[in-house]
Amino acid sequence: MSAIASATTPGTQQAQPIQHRKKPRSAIILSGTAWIVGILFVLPVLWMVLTSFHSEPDAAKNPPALFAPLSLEGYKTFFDSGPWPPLLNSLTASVLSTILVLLLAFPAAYALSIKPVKKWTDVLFFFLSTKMLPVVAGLLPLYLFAQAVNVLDNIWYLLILYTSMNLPIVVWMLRSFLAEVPVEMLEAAQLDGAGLIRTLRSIIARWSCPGSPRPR
Amino acid sequence: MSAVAESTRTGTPPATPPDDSALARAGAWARRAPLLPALIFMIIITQLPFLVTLGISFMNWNAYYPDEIGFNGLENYRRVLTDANTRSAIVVTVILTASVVLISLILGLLIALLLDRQFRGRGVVRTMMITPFLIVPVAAALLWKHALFNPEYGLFNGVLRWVGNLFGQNWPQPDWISQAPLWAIIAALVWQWTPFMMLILLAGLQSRPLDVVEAAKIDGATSWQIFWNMTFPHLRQYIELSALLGSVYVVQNFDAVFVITAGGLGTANLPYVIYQLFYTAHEYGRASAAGVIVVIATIIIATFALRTVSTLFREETR
Repeated sequence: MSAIASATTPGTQQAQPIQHRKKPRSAIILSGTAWIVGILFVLPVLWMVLTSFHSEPDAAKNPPALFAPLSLEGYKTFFDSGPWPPLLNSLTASVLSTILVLLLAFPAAYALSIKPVKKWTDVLFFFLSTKMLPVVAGLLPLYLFAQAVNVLDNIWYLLILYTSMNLPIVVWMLRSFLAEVPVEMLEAAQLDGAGLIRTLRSIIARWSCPGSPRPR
Repeated sequence: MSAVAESTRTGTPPATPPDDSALARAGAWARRAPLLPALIFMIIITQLPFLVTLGISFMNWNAYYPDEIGFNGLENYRRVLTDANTRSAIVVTVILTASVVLISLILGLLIALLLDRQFRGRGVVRTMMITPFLIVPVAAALLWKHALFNPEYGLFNGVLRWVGNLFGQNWPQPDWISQAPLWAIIAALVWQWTPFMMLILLAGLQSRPLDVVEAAKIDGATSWQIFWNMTFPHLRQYIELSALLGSVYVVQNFDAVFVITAGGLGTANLPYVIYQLFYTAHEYGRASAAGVIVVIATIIIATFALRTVSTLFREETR
């Protein structure tokens, strides 16, 4: 028994290096292509970053002044203009609404995939349908309501609206990842006495994090 | 004995069903409970205002003529549907959505396949790919309009002149936005949406069972056979998911149209026309009617897609 096991393991270990040792030209080409595509996609952003360090005349040169002297002039002007209140507002609204979205979406995605309610497809469709009204067409009631209850110019109202805008897509995406968690793993966890919270934390959260090692 | 069994059997039914159904009801509520906060939140925040929008869509309400506010019946809908602007906006919206979703889906799939392999710097390339999606849509549109498309100092013409100079030639410097306005918007949107498609498809690729693929390899399947018969069917629901979410979002796109062409040169899409009705003409009733039409049309198309071609809603319930 142990002889067989020890005989097979070296075998598989040998087989793998053979597969990976030779690096065919196609692999190099594919990796190179991946790098080129990645650079092309990030290039506009890099260009924006580089231009932000150029002086106004250098930024408007054609052909582009790649190696023009760097300056912090643009940043100085920006920070002198008192950007902190809007920056802090954006930070508060985005961070808090992201937390709120996750708190609402995670249980909802659970109830739509792992232990689905009846008619889960209708619920999913409802979530998506809330994204189908152009924002401009839906603004008037929201504005009138804010005016009526006196929350115009209020960051908390913005936070609620952001949450309602992002909740549907997060529910949809989380659901499609959660649907991949094998039922057997959940059953095994249940048999081992893991409660709901433990299951959520040790299995589902771990499974649905891309990049985390997951058993295949 | 059998009599006893009989009697218990006949005796129990009245007793158990309420018990059973109470249990079942408790179970159903236990299943529903995690869903309720999100569901109730969305109903209150989105559906109550939508009812108001629906109400306004039947009203004659122009902020310039406050005396004439009143019920209008289907007049708004008739005017929106017969308006030439709205009609061309419908065509633009369809072209814009279809091309952005198709192009970014194909690019996203190819890039996801490239990134699914192991290679040096894979994490870096993935981060570079995701960057466009992390940029605020308005900022991205501004970046494309001013830093890339600008005929005087934009990067595209800059590179054209630079490369032209290398060959000792003076290549023409096109004005991208006025020569191909719709394609300028499509390019900017494809740049933003390809990473989104790529992310979903990559997650799909990484969740495919590798042991089966290995078995197929051992059996001598070619890479194309593996892709077409195994990877693609597995990816199908991820492709549908990204196409559906992408379409719903690109139909609503306002930022890119507003910033890059300001709806000019025949690029006004439905959200832009609604914006004009709302903020320029102050026709609240007609703007709401147009919004309701967009919702209804999207729901019809999405339902059709989900019920017929899509496999998203066909998974077995657990």
